[in-house]
Amino acid sequence: MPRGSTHRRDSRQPLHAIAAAVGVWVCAASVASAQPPVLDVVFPPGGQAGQTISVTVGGSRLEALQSLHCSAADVKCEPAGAGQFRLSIPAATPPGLYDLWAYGSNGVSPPRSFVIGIHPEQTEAEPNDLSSAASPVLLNTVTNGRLEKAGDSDWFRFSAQRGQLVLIECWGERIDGRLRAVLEVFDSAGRRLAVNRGYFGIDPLILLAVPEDGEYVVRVQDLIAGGSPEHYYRLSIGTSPRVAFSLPNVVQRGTASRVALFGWNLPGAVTTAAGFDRLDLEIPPAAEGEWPLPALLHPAQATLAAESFVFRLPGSAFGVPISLTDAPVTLDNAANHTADSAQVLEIPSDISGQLGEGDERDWFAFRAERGEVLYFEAYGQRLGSPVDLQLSVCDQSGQELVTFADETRNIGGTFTTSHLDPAGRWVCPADGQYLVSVRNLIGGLATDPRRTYGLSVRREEQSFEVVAVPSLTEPAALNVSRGGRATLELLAFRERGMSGGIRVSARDLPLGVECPDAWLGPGVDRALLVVSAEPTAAPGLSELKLVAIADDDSLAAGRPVRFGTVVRAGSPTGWGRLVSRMPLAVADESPLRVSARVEETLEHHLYGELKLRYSPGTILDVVVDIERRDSAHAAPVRLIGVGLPGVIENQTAIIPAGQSRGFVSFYLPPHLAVGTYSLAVQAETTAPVAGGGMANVRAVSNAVAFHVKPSAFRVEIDPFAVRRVRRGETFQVAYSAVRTNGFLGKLHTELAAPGVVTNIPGIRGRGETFTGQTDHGSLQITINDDAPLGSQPYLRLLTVGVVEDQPTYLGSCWFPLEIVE
Amino acid sequence: MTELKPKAESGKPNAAQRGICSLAFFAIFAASVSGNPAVQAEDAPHIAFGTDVVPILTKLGCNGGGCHGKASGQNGFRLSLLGFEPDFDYEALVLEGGGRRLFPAAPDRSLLLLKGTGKVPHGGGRRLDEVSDDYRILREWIAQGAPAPRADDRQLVRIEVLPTEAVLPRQSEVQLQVTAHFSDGTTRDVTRQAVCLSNAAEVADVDADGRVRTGDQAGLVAIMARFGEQFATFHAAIPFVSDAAQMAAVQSRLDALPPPAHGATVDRFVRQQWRRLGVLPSGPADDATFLRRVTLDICGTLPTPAEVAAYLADSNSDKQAVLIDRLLQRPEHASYFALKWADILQNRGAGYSTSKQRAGTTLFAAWIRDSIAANKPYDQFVSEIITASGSQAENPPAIWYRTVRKTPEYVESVSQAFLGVRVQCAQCHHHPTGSWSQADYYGLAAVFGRVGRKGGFADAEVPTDEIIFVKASGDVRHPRTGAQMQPRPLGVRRLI
Repeated sequence: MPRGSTHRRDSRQPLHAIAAAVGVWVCAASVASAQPPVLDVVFPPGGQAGQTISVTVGGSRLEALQSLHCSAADVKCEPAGAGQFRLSIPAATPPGLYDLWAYGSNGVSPPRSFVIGIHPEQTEAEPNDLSSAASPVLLNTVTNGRLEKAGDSDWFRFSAQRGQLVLIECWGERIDGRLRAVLEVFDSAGRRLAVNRGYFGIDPLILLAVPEDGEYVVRVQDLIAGGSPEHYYRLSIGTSPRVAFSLPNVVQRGTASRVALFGWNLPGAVTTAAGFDRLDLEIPPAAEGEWPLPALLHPAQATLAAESFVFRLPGSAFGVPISLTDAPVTLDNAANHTADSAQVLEIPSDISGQLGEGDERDWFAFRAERGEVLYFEAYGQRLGSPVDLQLSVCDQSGQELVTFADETRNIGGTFTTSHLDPAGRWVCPADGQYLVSVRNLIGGLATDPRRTYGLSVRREEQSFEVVAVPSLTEPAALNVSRGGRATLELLAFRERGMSGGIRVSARDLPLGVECPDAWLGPGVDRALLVVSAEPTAAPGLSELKLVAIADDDSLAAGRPVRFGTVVRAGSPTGWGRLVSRMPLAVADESPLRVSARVEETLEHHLYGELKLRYSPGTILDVVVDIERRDSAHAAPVRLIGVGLPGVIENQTAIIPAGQSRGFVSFYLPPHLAVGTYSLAVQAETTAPVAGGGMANVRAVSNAVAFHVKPSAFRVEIDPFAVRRVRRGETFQVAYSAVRTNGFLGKLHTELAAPGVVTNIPGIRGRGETFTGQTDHGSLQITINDDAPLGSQPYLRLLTVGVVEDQPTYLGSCWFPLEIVE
Repeated sequence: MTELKPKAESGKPNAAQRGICSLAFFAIFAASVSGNPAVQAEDAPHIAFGTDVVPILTKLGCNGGGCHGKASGQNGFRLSLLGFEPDFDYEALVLEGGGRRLFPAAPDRSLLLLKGTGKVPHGGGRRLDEVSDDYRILREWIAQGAPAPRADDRQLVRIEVLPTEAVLPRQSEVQLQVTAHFSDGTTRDVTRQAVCLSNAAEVADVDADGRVRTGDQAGLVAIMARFGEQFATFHAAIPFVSDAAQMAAVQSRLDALPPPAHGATVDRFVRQQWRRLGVLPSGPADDATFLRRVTLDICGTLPTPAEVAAYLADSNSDKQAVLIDRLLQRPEHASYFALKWADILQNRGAGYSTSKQRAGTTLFAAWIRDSIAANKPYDQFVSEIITASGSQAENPPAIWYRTVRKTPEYVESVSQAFLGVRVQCAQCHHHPTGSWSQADYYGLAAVFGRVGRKGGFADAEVPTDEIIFVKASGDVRHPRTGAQMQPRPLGVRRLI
């Protein structure tokens, strides 16, 4: 049998069952002492640039906090007592949304949003639960408040003059809070003048055209009368400029561009019939590679955000995201509502348009040649526009040829990457002129100028972005224990036919921290990146920087990997967002270190030391070594693959108690694309905890990369071969080794197990050689009287393909066999 | 090798068999017509199947829901319910069963007449008298060769009942006359062919000849006459007073009442009915009672002691109107009527009560309340609901589509909630007491043929937070004809 382990093939991932059986698992980093902190609340959730403010943090495992860290440059933090910190915000900090992390001796927390504004701020003070007890607020101030108990409501009063347009805006969900805010405004007689339950998504906005000089009252409450410390909000009441959207929403990179900003109280603007101010102005070329964007970015916006910047009008507290492109920008000419009046565009083009009317449809005409491949991609929901776009390519008469589907594939779990924007590939059937139409499926009856869209028409210009997230199910951060490892999920957003492999590498790692390259193989959109810390690594906080490079050099330059977090756990209403960067904390000590490597050689009785060559239709053996901090306690260790490409069936194995080495083997299916992949192995066992007792421990190995090369033949066992034999029995196993890719050489097949050929304890098999065109045969196998009983799942047939007497190719397949008395 | 095919169900020949039988029938029929002097008489009036024959079958109860009009028919013979589908009835009567139900060569030997007159056993008993006009018309139609409905047949446009209304003493009679108006401008007395029904037989009943007889009870009664697809109604009032002198006295006292406040239309109609019935209204409620009633009716709550005191102390003559206006402005009014509308719009808590769904329910309820508080015009209110699209997490009226999910629910919710009519019957057959056909039903269904849903999640097995959108395509077909239906509202020929 293979050395030091028993293995079991299992197509189902058994982790849930295991976890249920033994209780809650903890990561290896947390066994020795407390787990990393989780930050639920930072209150107030923002502050004014140029001010020093005191914030209180809430969450779990925050006892050992030392500092807060903000993604805005030069924000300084000082502890100010239990759970309190003083933040000094430089006056030059651009306003917007930033991230704030809590760091302590137990590690770093996942982030919470923190807003830096330009207006004076105040904190809501109770009691203000009644109109008569409304807190006074000056115009153009921001109030940070929270509804701490169910049924709570907060009242504020302000004075305004007739003719003023007062914007009352509440930020709740956009700053990671749980509040679903309802805003109401009343006059001094108690008459309700307006109510809003969602304008920017579910966060409300009221535009109050002040009817008379006087005092007005605002109420903030939760839609379902909820309340908790996490029901916090920022309420801005004022008359300062507020930009809602821009047209175009995409500009050419490196050039000054003329754009129209739409919003309210924009100085020098004209007011449109729809009630928006419109301000036309020229904006300078955007700075290259601006990141992070001080704005809320959802996972589906990953590709868009990487090519965007935020333009902020002086005097306004928030900017408007605008995309950058290398292609010419075309603006919807507003006279293209029929196929006959289609607007002509060149390819490539980036179009910026507007579907104000509910049933509006914009048409564009382009020429294409037979066989030409074009990629169409619409942007609507990802721009924050209240649209659900439909995108169709039609012939010249307007007859629909293809309609593209929404991106319904979610590769990120709770970090949801699916969206409503359609995209697709189209092959031109014949030379000629074609049309592409864009319409909004949720237009309804009302007119809404906010319904802007983007449309990209490109040839096969491949592109991609990679986002790394600590966990796809719950809020988490990157905490690496000394002597241990931590993982990040890598998500590949492939565009315009990019299907090749992607390599992700770390840059500028701190001393004692390692992060081998991780590979997203061809067509693979999820993989695991493993960060390791040496036992001697110094505790502290640094930053992980990753770069992603296309494996085939089709895209010369590497792309910075963006990061994300899950904000709210739980299916199906959990959600995530992009974050500005990924802090890396080294803390604690790991009770377990798992190391994995791909078996590279194999001793063969005929060919000597074989250099293993993996190809579709072979079995990949991964050797796993366990190092226990407490060597006296050597409980059994259960192994399972993690971060596998989706087409590879997962496996489990057990390292018996007292042993420290085992194997996990994976069959590389015949349809696996040639390329480089990576995976890791997760170990689950028990280990002593500080203070006595045992805990379940889960640890992940280093990532191992393996190269899959073209195959020369495919080995398959007869599906009717015997599966259950008795000790002492001799039987024949029929199999085939079908040559592929023109291979004509000799094939030699033997019985094998991880690390062993032929000499398998208790099982004797006589090898067989095929020459010429032979591709079917059978092996005679004898089960010894002392053969181990039970399933022998990692047993396989191993075939060596010989070229000019040199063992060159390998192929293998499982031989599931159970031995009984 | 010849494939063996199963025999057609008993009494239900397949299409091929029907075609062969029909040809045979018409061949026999043509031969028989040529030798029948009665048929050859050129001056015999043309008997139209749709407007002459079918109403008789309806009058005789042949196509009632308890007989051949039920969905499964009766003893292998099925007619459309109440004769609303003449084409179907013609095929059933003339072509089915190899044409065995009619015998044009000897019309009196037709199974239709023999069964109807009870000369051969008939589960429905004897329905027809040999000397009646109905028998004569049916026999004549058969003798004419049982002509099928023709495109140029005159169409029934409307029917009229005379008188249209009357004030009748107790224990009295009045004869109704039902007149059919046809598309060629002709009219015909169809009193005996029309079906007349009373909605309050204890007040006044009607017989098969259209004679109305009042009983001992006073009250209001409506007599509905139906002929073909058309309906007309006679309204009668049976006064509570017993003679003219008492009636005059009552009316004199009614004339002395002060005029309705602000010329209220409702009050005018109410007074008009008092006069017909000879009843005097109760005296006006005292101020406290009025305040309690109106506050409950408008706001669903009781007035506070302070409000009662203030109202009682108010000596202004228009204080009732002022009070009502004030109550209509109160948030309780919007909340109270929003509650009623939430029931009508099925914004249920039950089935949608998980924490994830509560936001949607609350959002829609709040939108209804805001709409009422803003005195949103009814057409706008309904339009915003029916045309709602987008995420149910963000667009409150789209939550209406959370409960209303399927074609029958679209049609029946819209018709019942917004139009005040029930059209469920027309899903399977023409509405028996309304003018709604299957075409009306599925025409309205077609309005919703392109309602699409995407996204959302199933919470407690109920779809939640879906996105409602307009699909690029989607049609609704008539279940009987298979025709693609053009979207149209009830009672409208085309959607403009």
